[in-house]
Amino acid sequence: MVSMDPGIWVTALLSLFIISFVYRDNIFFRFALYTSVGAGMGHFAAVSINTINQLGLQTLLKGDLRFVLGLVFGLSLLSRISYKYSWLSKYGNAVLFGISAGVMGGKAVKTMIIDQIILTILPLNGVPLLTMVSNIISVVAAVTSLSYFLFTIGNKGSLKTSQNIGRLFLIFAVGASLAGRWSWAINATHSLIDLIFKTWLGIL
Amino acid sequence: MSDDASFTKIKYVTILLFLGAILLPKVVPLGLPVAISDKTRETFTYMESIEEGSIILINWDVCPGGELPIGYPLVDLITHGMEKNLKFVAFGTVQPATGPLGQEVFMKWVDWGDYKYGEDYVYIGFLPGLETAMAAVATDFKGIVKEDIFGSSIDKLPLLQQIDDYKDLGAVILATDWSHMPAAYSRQWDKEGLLTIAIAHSGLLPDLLPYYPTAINAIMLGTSSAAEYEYLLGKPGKAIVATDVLSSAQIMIIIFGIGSNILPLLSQSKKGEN
Repeated sequence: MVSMDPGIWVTALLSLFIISFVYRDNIFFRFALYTSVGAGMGHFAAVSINTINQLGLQTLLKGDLRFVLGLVFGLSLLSRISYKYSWLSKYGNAVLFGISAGVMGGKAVKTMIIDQIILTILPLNGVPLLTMVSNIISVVAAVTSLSYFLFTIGNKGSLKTSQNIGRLFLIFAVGASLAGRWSWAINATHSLIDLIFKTWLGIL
Repeated sequence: MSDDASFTKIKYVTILLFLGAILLPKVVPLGLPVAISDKTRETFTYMESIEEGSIILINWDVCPGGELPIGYPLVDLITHGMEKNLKFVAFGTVQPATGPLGQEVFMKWVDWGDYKYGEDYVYIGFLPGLETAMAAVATDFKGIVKEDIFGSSIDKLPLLQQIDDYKDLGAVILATDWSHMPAAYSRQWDKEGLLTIAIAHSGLLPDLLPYYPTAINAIMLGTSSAAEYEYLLGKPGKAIVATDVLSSAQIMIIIFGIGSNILPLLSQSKKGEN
């Protein structure tokens, strides 16, 4: 049975408008595209205003002054609207960059460098044969792929063979990633078909 | 026929065949075999090991279109967790659109049964701030979470009152299809003794593996993992049909891939002979 929910109708029609691009660029596709961008921006603005209100203004009104500096620096970002006062925004940006670098930088050393070096130190003794082969391949792949990125040396000399092997592993990784993304696309299409035939038209 | 017209014809035929490959298993279930992978078994064992009544935090950051491959495994993990009386809290940090999408999956796809909203499960929605928000949730939960997606204050949500930081959690589930999330998550949530399970689509495996098994303890990949998990749970469901769809469409893509590369070669060699 066809759905009577107006929300489902809007979702299904906009989805059909978007996939009409497969045929060619058309007015329905553009309508859906602009609607999506507009709705997304509106939602983003509403969520942002609510967050500033909840985390900033309401907290301040309760007497908690921790967010005063945050609000001041946040407001300084709005100065970009004015050509004359846009220089004020650099302070807000400096705080944003500083905090982001601090939050990410320190922890990146452990998780992205030390832990990953440890992960390439793999056992060859006391493990099943297949695991041993897999461990050897992992280490060879890591070392040769890294050698590919030694751009100062270039693809020549003693590193040439290693770099060429590394390039092969990189191609395999990209291939695996691409195949995975196809799976994502299939699932997205499946989702769309479910929406149109099952939820909207009630056929399947 | 000109090359352009011929290309357009091939394009439409390809699209129709691709859609047919997706529709066929939905009309006639193929029942293709599902082999349970070690990674899915590992996730199942980890879920079994979580202490009864613990709180599970779910970081849901999924784009529209990704709800199927990420949503099905998440629903299975929650269904399993409900057997152990686990509690669930979900939030997102990447983009506001993940809020309503996560709400649909978290609130409507899961059969919550006797679970009560606010006491056993809560959906917070989107928290702006990307990685800084993730860091804040891990270390100062009540400092950043003030209300749920419906605007109810955390004072009225008993489940959220029990969380101060990551030490109050039994596990964290990272459900994402953003390639930068595994690294960001690993930086902020790599905590001693905290179980972490990642759910992603299979294209994200190269982004997840560098953090497995140090920062990420277990990985579930898309609808196929969900189908395997449904077998382990003894509750076959939607993911098994979705896996049939995936297999059927992938077979079609393989045929296209081989055909589109070999046929031109054959026609070229024929031209050469003539």
